[in-house]
Amino acid sequence: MAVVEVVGVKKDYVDRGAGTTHALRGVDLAVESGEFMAIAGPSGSGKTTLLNLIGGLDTPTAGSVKVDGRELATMTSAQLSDLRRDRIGFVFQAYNLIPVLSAEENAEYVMELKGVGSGARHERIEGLFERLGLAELRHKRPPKMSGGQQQRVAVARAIAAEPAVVLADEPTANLDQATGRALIEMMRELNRERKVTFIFSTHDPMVLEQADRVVRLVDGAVTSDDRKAGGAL
Amino acid sequence: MLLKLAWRNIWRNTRRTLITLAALTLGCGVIIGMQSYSESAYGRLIRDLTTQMVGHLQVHGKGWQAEPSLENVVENPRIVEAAIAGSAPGAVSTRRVIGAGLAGSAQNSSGVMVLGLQPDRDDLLTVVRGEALDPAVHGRIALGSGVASMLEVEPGGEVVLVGQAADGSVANDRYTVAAVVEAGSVEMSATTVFLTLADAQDFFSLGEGVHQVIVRLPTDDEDISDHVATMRAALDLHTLEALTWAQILPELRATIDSKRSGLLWINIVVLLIVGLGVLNTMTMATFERTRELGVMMSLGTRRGRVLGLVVTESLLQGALGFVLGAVLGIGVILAIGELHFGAVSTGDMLGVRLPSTLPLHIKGSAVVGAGITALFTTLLGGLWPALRASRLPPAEATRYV
Repeated sequence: MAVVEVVGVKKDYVDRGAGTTHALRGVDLAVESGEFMAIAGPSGSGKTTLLNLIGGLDTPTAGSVKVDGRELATMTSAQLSDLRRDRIGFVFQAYNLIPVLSAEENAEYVMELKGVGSGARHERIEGLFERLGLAELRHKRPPKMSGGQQQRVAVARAIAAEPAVVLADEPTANLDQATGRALIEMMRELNRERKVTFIFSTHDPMVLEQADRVVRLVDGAVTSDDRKAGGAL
Repeated sequence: MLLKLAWRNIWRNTRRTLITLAALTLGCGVIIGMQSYSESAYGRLIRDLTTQMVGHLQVHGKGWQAEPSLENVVENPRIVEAAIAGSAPGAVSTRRVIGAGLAGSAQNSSGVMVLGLQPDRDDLLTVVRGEALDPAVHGRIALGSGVASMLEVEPGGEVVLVGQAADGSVANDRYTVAAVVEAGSVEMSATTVFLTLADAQDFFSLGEGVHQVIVRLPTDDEDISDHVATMRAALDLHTLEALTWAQILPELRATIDSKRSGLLWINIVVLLIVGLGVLNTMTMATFERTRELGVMMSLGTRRGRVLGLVVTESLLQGALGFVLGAVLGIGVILAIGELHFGAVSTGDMLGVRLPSTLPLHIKGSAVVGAGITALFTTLLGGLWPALRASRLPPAEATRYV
């Protein structure tokens, strides 16, 4: 079953001065559970817009977006919040950790939203941070961490609540090559071990190389959809 | 987590938070201090008024307050006192006679008020020189300090009083000056002479009749309406009138109410200014965190929780400012303890002598009022930024730089 299903999605931005920008021009996309896929394309091609629509952060001008079989357009703001909390993890280009919370509190935050008890939260955080090599960062706050460390904590936060799909918007864009590669490898391992679905937007060749499937967007339209032989599917 | 997050958020910009807290602290401190001072002053004024001059309630012959006349008396004050004792346990009553006359000494003469009282039950007089009047000793008089100066008489001297008695006859008698006294107001000290009740009744030919039965209740409460209703029910109001101090001195009541109302508006203005400071702080704080709030919503934080977070930050500052303000206000009041205005106060306020010392008390209502107002003000100051934050479109907010 497709965990994400996008059918005929268009997204227009209307600007009084500049007129209408067609960010997406009828995109169709189905993402199966456990995929490790990338949405590639140049700047302005509509990658982030597509991720925002899948994450329920924005609404399409036309078409349908379903996550876990649920049509997002029919959901209320509170239902969309709950869907993001329960089923979707986000990794942002600029890390976007909450600066006044420590690394473990950042990861705990989403679990607390979900109603996971304190004991279970700590147990899960301990295992996750150990697994991701973040144990020594647990009590550090984001301003005291490097970019790579922050992005690893952001990944921990994204998967802490055990979502069905993680949406990562250019996660390596602010990292050097080696750190970016380590991060992608970490996500790759999580994908294999925990069957978490990852959808990246990127134009980083290293990320594209790791992805099992690459969907290319140009000017808001899908121009290719390539699956790597022997990939996850 | 919400409380932890809110607490840490308010300390992100320490300087800004300290400035906001300083404004809140000062605002609350000033309100508690000013209100405690003014309520202490009104409380003292009303207590002096009710224990010395006017009493909590006065019983007169019907219509006497509007048109005082010598003949209009409470004919049987003992019955009135018994009714009051039965209806208001602990109440103390005292009788007075009031008339006019001419006082003369060897040197001078002057028109005076003549007030007969029960010196053993009445706290109206403070002896400046000489000895207090004794109810068992007849033919003695106490002179208000102003009258003594006018007549140039000191204790031991003699004064002749002339007036008209209730039966129309000429009242006149000679008295030995027992004391020079200060009474409940500067005006009274300047115009009044004091006799024992029996001497005054005899002078004015009133028999057992008195003009005032003054009732003092065993309470410092300002609201005595329940007691008054019970006492009135026990009196024959066809022939008597029973008036509270506020009815006898309506100008004083109105002045106190007006000053209280003025202070309330000052408090509102002070906290409004503080509230605008909080509004500015919270607007800046949420504006700077637009992206972060967007991220929180992206992670599944509901709008209500974002609203709750910002409101909690506001209220935490309000609560902290109130606690510090209360410590400041209470500390200042306790440190001052008592204000001294000199050995004898210099004037009256609408016919009542201002106290020469004023012990300051913390008014619980002022503290509670400041607390409620501080929290309400910070809530209002934080609400608009909180609503704005909770309505941010997450996709737009996460792109905010």
